Amino acid sequence: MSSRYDDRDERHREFVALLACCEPAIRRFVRSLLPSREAVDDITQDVALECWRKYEDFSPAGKESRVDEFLRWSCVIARFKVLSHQRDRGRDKLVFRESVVEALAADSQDLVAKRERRLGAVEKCLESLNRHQRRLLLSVHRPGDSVADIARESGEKARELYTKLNRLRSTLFDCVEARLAEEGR
Amino acid sequence: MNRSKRELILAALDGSISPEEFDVLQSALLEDEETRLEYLGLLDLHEDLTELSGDVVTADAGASEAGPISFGLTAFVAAVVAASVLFGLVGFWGGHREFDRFRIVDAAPAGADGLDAEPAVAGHASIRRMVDVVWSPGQSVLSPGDLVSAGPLKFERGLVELDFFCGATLLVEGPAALDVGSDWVVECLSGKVEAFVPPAARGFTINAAGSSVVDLGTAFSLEVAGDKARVDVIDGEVELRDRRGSLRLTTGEGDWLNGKAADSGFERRVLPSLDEVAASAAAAEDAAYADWRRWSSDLTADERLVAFYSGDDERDTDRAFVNMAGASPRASDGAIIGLADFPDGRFGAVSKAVALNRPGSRVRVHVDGEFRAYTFACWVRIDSLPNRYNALFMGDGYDNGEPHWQIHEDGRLMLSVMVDTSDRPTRIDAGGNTVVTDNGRHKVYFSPPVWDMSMSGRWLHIAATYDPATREVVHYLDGEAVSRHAIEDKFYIESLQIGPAEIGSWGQPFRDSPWFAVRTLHGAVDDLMVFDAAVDADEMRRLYKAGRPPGHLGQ
Repeated sequence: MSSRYDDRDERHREFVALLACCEPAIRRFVRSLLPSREAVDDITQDVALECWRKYEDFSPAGKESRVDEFLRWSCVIARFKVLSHQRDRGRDKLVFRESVVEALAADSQDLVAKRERRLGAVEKCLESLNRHQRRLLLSVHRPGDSVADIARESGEKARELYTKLNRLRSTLFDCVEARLAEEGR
Repeated sequence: MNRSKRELILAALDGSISPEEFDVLQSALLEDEETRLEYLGLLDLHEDLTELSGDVVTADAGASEAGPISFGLTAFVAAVVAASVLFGLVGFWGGHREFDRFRIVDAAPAGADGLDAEPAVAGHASIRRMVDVVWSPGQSVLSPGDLVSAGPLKFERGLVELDFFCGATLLVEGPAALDVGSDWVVECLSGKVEAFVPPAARGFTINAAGSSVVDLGTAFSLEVAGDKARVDVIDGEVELRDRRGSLRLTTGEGDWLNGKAADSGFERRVLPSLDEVAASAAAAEDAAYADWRRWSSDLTADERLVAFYSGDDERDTDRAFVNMAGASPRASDGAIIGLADFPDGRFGAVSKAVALNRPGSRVRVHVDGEFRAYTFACWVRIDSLPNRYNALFMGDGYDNGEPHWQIHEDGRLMLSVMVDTSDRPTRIDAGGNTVVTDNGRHKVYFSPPVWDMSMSGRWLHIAATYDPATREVVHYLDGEAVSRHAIEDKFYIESLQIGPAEIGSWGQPFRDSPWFAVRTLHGAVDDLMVFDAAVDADEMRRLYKAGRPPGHLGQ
């Protein structure tokens, strides 16, 4: 009698453990297929629920680790969720064409494993910037700070700051890529 | 004007790209793998920077003033909760952070290969008892019952009793630095320890000063300072393995490791028992608490103090939380709804705090009046910050002039006061549409992060002042200002009010979505005060000093 309940309980625990591991990677994968961050939360949540509904079907072949298999499996579900979200949304806003989503999904999937190393590289490269550069770079990401604030404080024109900001992003990006390439050797 | 490919990508990420340019970008993405990889790389960087800035869901560039109302829970928590509800399995409500941390111990499915990659979470010992302990900076705060994993264990003072899973028990007196190796091996870098080893744990080894002490039964003491270490057998037999070879010592015998004796600083004494230390620590806490009661009772006569919820009033019950400021009884006394807990306050068992660890519990208060300024201050023990926003003191409806004092999930303190509920700030999104970004005009003043998981369970004094007269908002931690913010014209409001409010949760949120309601603080609140004035830096320091428990070092 109780074994069915225990099984389901165990399945659920197992599922939540896998989801806890993979959720950041799934979220990032979903984000990479969308032109903005707007629907990422909703879609990721949809993916999580769909994964649970289909969890019975998840049968790892055993070559990769269970986490890797789960991640690959959930990314397939995520790709479909993104496509159907784009279709539902119609043409009123900026959306990627289906062919673009498919192309991005293939490349993005390959990057999933690399992403954890990336964050370390980003932190290292940030350290090489000075305080003002760092603040400008992060101002667009940080609530309570903005390019407009910096413009007001420093007397610089916002437009010039944006140009500077983009140059910093490029520098940082090149630094991160170089660092990853070096580590990869 | 033709923009470079990279500029197009950055514009797309900022949401400032035009539809025509977006089309150009899409074609490039489709045709060229290099562009795709550049796009994905820059997008990862964009997201990484957002994560490093501490807020995963901030809207795109340009909307950095968006306040708390525009965000929901992370999809993950919502999904897990939804899944739990759907399948009748609750118990994951504690939030994904804690869950992440303990997943190996708590929820690893048997044979799940991929999850076994974090052995550090599995412990080698647990803390049985401890008294008067002050953990070293950088050391995560542990409590009785907590697992001790492999790696350093450092504390500045106090006594800790550790049960190793091999069966050996270690009593350690601070200041001490250990490095736990396994169930059977620990290195003592400094400090004084006593080991009690039952027959089953024979072979338990303490490494010190480049040598090993192997217990062959019962008890020994070891004191380490730098490269000098001395072992004394209290009862039974130990084997000393050092540069000289292997040497056996029995009851009453002692020796210096490697034969190198220290000139001074070592005193051969038996460690005090935990009971003795506990008694003297409790006496010190009682005395400090008595001082605080006297000090704070004088403060209740201060006209600026409009609310003081301590949990220590004789009239407190499990339903009523008395406002000790001014004359009582009054409407501002709190009502406790649901199953709130009353854990020990920062002075230990002699005083009580209040905790709302269940989503349904509430401490509701009603503070009438019109105020010229605000000071909010309390002692808080944060166990974790599982919600995006974690409530300290929240005006119900967040109407004009009402405060929200909270802690962001990344450890930043937040204070905001609603300026104009009728205003609906907007921005233009990537598609050129006008989007409402906020529910009313207000600004959230964020401190830098003051809390991280390593501070879990530690008592802190936090405060925030809001002063329209000087147009300044200040956040405080342990009596010191951590950030100051100017109040801009746009966010200026002179008439402040509280009305119905809650401590440690938000009962009456704006929106219908149930997810928004969960801002319950995971931890405990002690001695919450509200002043109709902005307390200055000197007075804040006095408030902290008068209320700190013995051994509280501040940040």
